Amino acid sequence: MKKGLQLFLGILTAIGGFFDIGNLVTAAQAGATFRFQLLWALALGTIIVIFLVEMSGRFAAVTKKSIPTGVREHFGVRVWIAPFAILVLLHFLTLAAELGGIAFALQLVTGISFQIWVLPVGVLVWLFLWRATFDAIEYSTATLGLIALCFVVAAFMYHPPRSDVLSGLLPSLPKQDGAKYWLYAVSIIGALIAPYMFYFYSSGAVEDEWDKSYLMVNRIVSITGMSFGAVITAAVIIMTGLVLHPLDIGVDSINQAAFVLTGAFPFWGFLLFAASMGIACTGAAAEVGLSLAYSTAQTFGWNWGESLEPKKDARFALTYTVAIVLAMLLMMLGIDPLKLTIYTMALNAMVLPIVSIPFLMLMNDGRLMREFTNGIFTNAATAIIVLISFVLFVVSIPLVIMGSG
Amino acid sequence: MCWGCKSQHDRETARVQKALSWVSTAGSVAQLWVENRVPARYAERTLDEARTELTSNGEAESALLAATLRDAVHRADRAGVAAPLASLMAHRGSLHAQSDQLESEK
Amino acid sequence: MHLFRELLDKQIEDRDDERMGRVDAIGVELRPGAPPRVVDIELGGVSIAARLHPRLEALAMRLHKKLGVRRSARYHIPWEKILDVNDDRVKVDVCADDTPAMDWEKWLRRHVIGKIPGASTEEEE
Repeated sequence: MKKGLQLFLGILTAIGGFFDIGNLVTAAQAGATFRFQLLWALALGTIIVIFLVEMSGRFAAVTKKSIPTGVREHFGVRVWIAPFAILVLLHFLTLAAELGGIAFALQLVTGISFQIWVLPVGVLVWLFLWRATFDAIEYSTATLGLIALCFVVAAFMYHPPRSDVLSGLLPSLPKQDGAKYWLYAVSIIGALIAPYMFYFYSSGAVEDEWDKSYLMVNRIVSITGMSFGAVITAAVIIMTGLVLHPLDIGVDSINQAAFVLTGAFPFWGFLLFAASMGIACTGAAAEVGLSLAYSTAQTFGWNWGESLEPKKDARFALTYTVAIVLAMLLMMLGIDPLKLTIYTMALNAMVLPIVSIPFLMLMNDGRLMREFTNGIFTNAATAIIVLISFVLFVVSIPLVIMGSG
Repeated sequence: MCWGCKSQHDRETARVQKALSWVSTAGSVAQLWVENRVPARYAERTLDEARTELTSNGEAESALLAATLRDAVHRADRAGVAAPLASLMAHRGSLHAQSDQLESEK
Repeated sequence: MHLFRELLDKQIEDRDDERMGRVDAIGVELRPGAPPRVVDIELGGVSIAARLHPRLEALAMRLHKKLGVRRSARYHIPWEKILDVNDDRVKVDVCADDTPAMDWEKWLRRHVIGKIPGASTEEEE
């Protein structure tokens, strides 16, 4: 009975927690400029994230350890410190982008600048982490996050040509704008494989005291949850492909994508877009903030746990507090949330080899994982993931330098 | 392949595409505001952004039209949108043709 | 040598299972004609920095002297205090709260986190 509930909540969380500013922005850009042609990047990124999330859950269930703990104990602090530093940076940039996303959603509705909104938004997210327990945070944001399903409803209402959607799932070469095409492809994948996704998941599994009996739950949650979650992102590509592409609108500002739902829902469309964005980013900001504090506490062996009172784990609480304050300051400077998102997502893709390879090696360690090491199938997939991430790494550097210009 | 440097032709294509994108955005947003589908504050902000972007992409006339539309939204003057919107759509037509032309020259 | 690997970077827990840090370094006594012997385990940011680069160690030490609230930059736990070592942790016979390992934690509790309303439900209710 308890497992059944866990399974249900887990899938819900995965679906609701999947969608964030990164997915929204990269999907909107891809759909507007290349219609359905980049759906394959979404499919590929989703497969990669399913494997990563399943592995991090399995690792937590078998070893009772989170990824930072496992890597530091196994390879030592000298190996772990560089990936850890990169991880901290990425978490921080992502946190800033998510706060920017919430603030921008409020700007859409109120007309008041996001730079002003960032202040109350940051305080609110902080208060949420300060007072709420882990489960409360996870389930409330995930449930509310389901509002983003309005994109899926809208996409169905438009009856997109099925053959076009299916052909988008197969990789193809662009007719024009080669650099932009690959940059968008890399950003979509980068948004999906944002490290906080699987680091947060593994810490959550440890916090919920998963054991081997959870392996099946883990598998089902990661496959179903991530796939359904990706459907929302696919719907954003389809909607922007259907609405913005024929108008020749490219998404260089979130304002240009904000009205994509007004055709499907004349009165509510605009509000639904802002609400989906605001809520998805709130959930993600909470997850990123926590994931950063977890990873830091685990790396240094501090006391950690979101269900403890802040006073019981002062350093843990201080970590997310400082991160939120700095992220707020960064956004108050007026950095465009869209640009920050694009570059951060490309960076995610770039550093995937560094943050994932030590972990992938642990998954094959028999002493640690015993009979639960990766099977041949998973290892083959892992090899492909490493290869893809290496290619992404090589490809994304010149793309990021050339920028979106 | 030459990383980092773009030909004159590529730069012109990028400029026209960007201008087209913002002209379309301005037109759509103004129209949606008339239909009451988006709030006035958002429409104003977006039209302002369109004006800035169009100016920096060498489309002064379209930029002026975006500013006119913005003012109409600000005054809540629905009837005042029609004329500048029609002119803007004419600009959109010519930018579109220009963009197709540039594509075919490649 | 096996023991070092077994110990290094492990989670340290005190006698009440309180998490107090990780084994950041190991003190070893080299004995002629006999295998080296572990004297103590060390924890502290300076100990980590020392393992990364000597320059970082110097920098960390300077920071500690300027800003540190810890009684000592490196905290040594003698071998005799180690109760048990397993796959998950090193259990030591000390009370974490009385050691330099928790100096920062306590300082933050008192001066920063504890000052923010809602840090602890006990005080309010």
